[in-house]
Parts: sequence; structure tokens; C-alpha cells
Amino acid sequence: MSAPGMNDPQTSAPFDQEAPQPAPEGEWLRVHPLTPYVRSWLLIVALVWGVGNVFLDDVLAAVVYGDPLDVDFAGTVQLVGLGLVAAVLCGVVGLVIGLGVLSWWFTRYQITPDHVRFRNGAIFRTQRQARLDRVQGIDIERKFLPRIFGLASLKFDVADGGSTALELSYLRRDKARELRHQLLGAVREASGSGTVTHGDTKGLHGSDDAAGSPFGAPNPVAAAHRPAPWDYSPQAQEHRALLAQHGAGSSLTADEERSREVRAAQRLGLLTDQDDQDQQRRVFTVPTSRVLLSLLLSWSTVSAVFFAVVAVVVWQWNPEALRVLIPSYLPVVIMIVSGLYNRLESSWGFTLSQVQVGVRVRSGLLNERSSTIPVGRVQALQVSKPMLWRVFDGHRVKVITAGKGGADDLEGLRSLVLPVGSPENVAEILELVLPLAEPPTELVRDGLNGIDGDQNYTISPRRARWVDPLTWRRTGFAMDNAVLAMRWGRLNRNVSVIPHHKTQSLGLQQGPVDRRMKLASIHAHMIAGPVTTAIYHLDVRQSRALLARQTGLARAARDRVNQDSAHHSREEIQ
Amino acid sequence: MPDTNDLSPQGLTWKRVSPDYIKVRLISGTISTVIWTVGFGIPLILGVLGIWGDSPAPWMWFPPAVVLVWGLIDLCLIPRRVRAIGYAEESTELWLRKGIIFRSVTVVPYGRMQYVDIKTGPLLNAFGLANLTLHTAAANTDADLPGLPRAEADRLREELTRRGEELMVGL
Repeated sequence: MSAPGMNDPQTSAPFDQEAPQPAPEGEWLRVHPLTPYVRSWLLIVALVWGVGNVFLDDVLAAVVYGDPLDVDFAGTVQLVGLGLVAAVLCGVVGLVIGLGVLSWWFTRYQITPDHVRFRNGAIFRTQRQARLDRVQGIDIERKFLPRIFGLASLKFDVADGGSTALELSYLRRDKARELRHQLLGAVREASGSGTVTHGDTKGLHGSDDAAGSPFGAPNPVAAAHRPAPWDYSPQAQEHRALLAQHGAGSSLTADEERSREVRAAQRLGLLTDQDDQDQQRRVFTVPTSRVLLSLLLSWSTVSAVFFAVVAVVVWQWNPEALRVLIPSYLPVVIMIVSGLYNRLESSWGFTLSQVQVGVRVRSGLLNERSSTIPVGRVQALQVSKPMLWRVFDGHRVKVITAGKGGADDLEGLRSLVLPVGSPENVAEILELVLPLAEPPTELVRDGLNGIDGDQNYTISPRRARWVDPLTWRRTGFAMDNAVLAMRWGRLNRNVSVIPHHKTQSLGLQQGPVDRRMKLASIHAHMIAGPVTTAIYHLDVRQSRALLARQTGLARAARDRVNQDSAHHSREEIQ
Repeated sequence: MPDTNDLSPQGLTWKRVSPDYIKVRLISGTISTVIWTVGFGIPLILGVLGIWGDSPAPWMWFPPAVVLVWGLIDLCLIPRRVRAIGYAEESTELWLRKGIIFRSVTVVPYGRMQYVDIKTGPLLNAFGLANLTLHTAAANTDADLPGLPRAEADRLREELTRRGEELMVGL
């Protein structure tokens, strides 16, 4: 939408230049020639290291002891002859370059009006494709090494149930950005035409494309529920203007045409250009000091300090023992450092901005990543308050988002909406991220700080202390008309929020011990993600009542969603 | 079906799976018990045959005996376990229950079902049975109905699909 003239039909013209025959068989285009080398940089480094290692001793000696640098080819050369050595070296270099070129030659992408396809591999070919009308967002990803070469990759969020995202890598940075704009046009076309077919029926049945498929397109209820926050965008304004025009009785067909485009464009609000800050409302950036504090007060740091203390003590006691200790530390140190580094990457400069469909998060020290989280697709949310962070009142918030990759992508940015933040940040997130009319602020606050039952929360019965001695007074649930909240943990405090209209199914379970004690656990089955949605050791009668009530509420919420989307889409058509 | 399970609310009409499914489970349970017993009894067989030592050592009796006892207990529990499987079709949800020691009750809204699988194998086929599995978008929805009569499975699938389409909700 930052694209100049995004709503102008002409925008798709450059797209045509890209692929002169965009019709059934689009042209297969190639990625940047450096791609294979950047991708397999590790291999190349290993190769260089392997060759260089032969001379490393000499070089090191020269550097460290100031010996004259005397690289001794002679031994090798005498053994096999200079010509052969040179030939082998050239051969290896040639092979690497040749393989790279070969790989590059077979790595191609194609853009048709309906699909993006990406194909690579000379012998074992793989092809991936994404339907344009299912594309939820296109992100530009800039990792460290590609960034040095001025390259970037385009990442497609696709909402067709597959958990793997399509990635076009690598393109020149400006090319990537340009292509993204063009693709936005194409996506708009594709989803625009998609809406036409839906348009005829959905007024009757109230099933927008959200209902069309299991992992459907974004749920329109989100937009319906929260009108105000989207106000800033020109599209929304234009949209409203158009709706007003409809009311005024202007030419329906032309307006319908445009309104459809606007609507599609609205859906693509998540595609707002990264660099165009005006289009996004920045909600907060996590200050660097807090990021560092959060890392300092983490178990990784604590264990690092512990190991360091042990090392010092051992050293005082018997310096010889360090010879054994240090090597055994290596894996632990690597683990701690990589853990800390990952945390640093995901929280450094973490910025949450509001875009039309939801929020966009961005972070990264060396590898900058960004991701869009459409509000309508958020399934559940968990706020955690780790024990050590209570010093500075830090919170972490994670969400489950449909179609964002399942459990295998947990560590990524895709599920984290707040790496470390204040209660104010949490409140803002609750308001922005959940597909609800009213943020469940009170339930979350009580869920984090409350203990024992109160007017909201029902906790485990007292007899549960035999199986849950420390936290039974915290283990509990609460519900209102819109959400089910679960809380647990005393030192590390957690609360998860599950909107009723997002629960898939519900389960009640009881093992032999539970049965003796008349306890049960309740599980809300959600799309796989990093949020815990089960609560254990509840009173069996209460959990049975909860199951029945939750079933009823979820049913009502689903009906409401269906009605809303029916209403919503009818409104848009008329 | 007796309302033995205090996890489920009152007022649901539970249906059981086919009693023939007990036979299926008994047969397959017997086969697997025999296989496991024989597997763990290999030292014993070698001992009896005189390949491993002259006569079987006392410890050789132990593994197959444990496996056999375990298998027999399992077989004894099968009828109760199968009788504990139940389902109830309500107007908007399907209720499922199972288990005697580890019990569970699951509620699957029709509108959440993504697809319904019917599977059958040679043994099930011989008794005219089929296994039905419901899938929602959540991987941990554990909604299996094993051992339904074929006709009932087909009816249920049609019915669930129909209601699912009627009540379908986006994610």
C-alpha cells in the first residue's frame, strides 16, 4: 500500500514486464548468481579451511613467533609434482564454481497470475508453489551474509495449511523490493478474482472465504470487531468512502469492482512496505537495556555464572583438574552461548507495529526478521512471567497463529509478540493481538498475580495439594463470554487466553490417581503452537461443568462469528 | 449404555461400538501376545533345543512369562475397554469417551471437523467393521471411533460431513 498507486490498475504493468507471458506458462526467472555460494557458505568456508589448514601451521608460526613466512609447498610438490598440485587446486576451485553455477542454473522461479513457483536441484528436483490468492503476507528477510552482498530473500506466508513457507532467495535487495510490490499487485488480482466467485454466494450463506477451506483466509470477524484501530490507513478511509458512496447510490458495478480491490488490498494491509513507517503505527520498541537485563536474568546466565564459579573453585583447589574440566565444559558453553544468542536475536530491537490486518513484529541483531500476525488468525495467547524477571516486572507473550507454521517453528519470531516487556506492553498487546472486542485485561492481570480462588478464577480443590503441593492455589481457570483463561505456576507465572471461537475441540481426562482423588484435567485442543492450553488437577465436578459450559460458549461464539461474517460480507457487497 | 463415567454430563444418549470389535481386538491381541512371547522366549527356545547350554537356565523363563502375563491381563481388559468406548451425537457437537483406567471425554464441534477418515483392515473387514477418525485443525484432538459396523461408519461419516458443512467455521 506504500506502493505508489497500489490501487491503480496500472501497477500490475511492471509485473507484465517481469514475465512477458504471465498467462498459463510464465517465464522461469533466475535468482541472483551468488545465491548458491551464499547459501552454502559453510561448505565453502570448510573447503577453504581444509585447503588452508595444510599451511596453517606455517602461517601461525609466522604470525605468533615472527618466523619468516615460509610456506613449504616443496614436500607436496616433490611428492606429486607441481603441475598436479596446481591442477588439483584449480580443479577443486573449478568444481566449486561449476557446482555453484549448475545449482544457480537450475534454481528458478516463476510468477503466473495464480501462482508463485520455486524450483531447484539439477538431479533431485524440488518444486514449491504458493497460490497467490492464499498468500497472507510477503516479507523481506535480510540475513547477515546475504546482507553483506546486498541480497535479500522474499518469504511468503501462505494460508493453505502447509507449514512450510515458500522462500525466494536470493535477489538483489532493490529487485526483491520491486518484486514484492509487483507481487502485491498480482496477489490483489488473484484474491480479487477469488472474491468475485465468493461474492455471489456468501451473502446467502454467510461463509466468507474463511469458511471456504479449513485453513481459510483471514477471518473477517477480526476486522468487524475492531473498527477503530484501522482508521489511520488511507485504504480504510477509501473503503469507507466507497461504502458511503454505495449508500448514496452511485454506480454499483464500477464501485463494486473497486471496492473488491480495496477489500483485497485491505487484506494485504500486512504487505505494507517495511521501510514505509507512515503506514504502520509503531506500538513499542523494546529498549535495549531491558533486552540485556532480560538476558542477564535468565537461567542461561545463571548457569553460566554457576559453571564459572565451579571452574574458579576447582582451579584454586587443583589447577591440574582444569585440564579435564575445560573440555567437558565446551558443549555446555556452546549451548548456553547459542541459547543466549538466539534470545538476543529474537529480542534485539524488537518492534511491534500495528498494520491493518493485525500486528507486525520485527527484530534482529545480525539477521533482521519480520513477520506479520493477522489478528483474525490468532488462536491463543500466553503471558509468562519467569521467576527471575519479577525483579523488573518482565513479561513474555507468545501466540499461536494459524498457518504460521506449527510446532517446528516455535523458536522463530512467528510466535513471539513480546520477548520481554512491561505490564503496559502486555496490555497493549492484549488489545491489539486478540481477535476480541474487549481485551481480557482483568483476567490476565488476575491470572498473573492472583492466588486462591476469587470471583473470576476457580482453583484446584484443597485435596489436590497431594499431587500439586506448591502451585495448587494458583492452578485455575476463569471464563467470560469471549475467552477461557487458564493460569498456573507460582514462581514462573503463566496465564493463557483462548478465545471461545478458536477452540477446536475439548477434552476431559482422568488417570487412576485423579480418579481416586476426584480430580480431572481439561484440555482445550488448539492448532499446534507454543501455548499451553491444558489445566490439571481440577475438581471433577467443576471440570465437568466447565466442559459443558465451555462447549456452550464455544458454540455461541462460533454462531456469532458466522453471523458476523455473513453480516459483514453482505454489508460489503451491498 | 450405563452412565459409568463421571466425566461426562448427564442427559447424553451414548452409543457403543460394535460388540464384534471385542473379537477383533481379542484376535489381534492374542496374535501380538504370541509374537511378543515368542520373541522374548528366544533364549528359552534355544535353551530347550540345547543350542544355548545343555538345559534352559532358570532366568530364561522369566522374560516370556512376564510378557505372557502382561498380555493375558491386557486381553482380559479388552471387553471392558471396548465397552467403554462410546459416542453421542448432539445437535452441534459429537461427544466421544473412552478408557477405563485412563478415562477421557472429548467434545468435537461438527463445525470444526476438517475431514473424516474411514479405515479398515483385513481383520476388521472380516467382521464388517471400520475405524472412523475425525480430524480437526488441532493435532491433539484425539477423536477415534474404532470398530463401528460398516454401515454405521458410513452413515456417521455422511452425517458428520453434512453437519460439518452446515456449521463450518473459519479458523
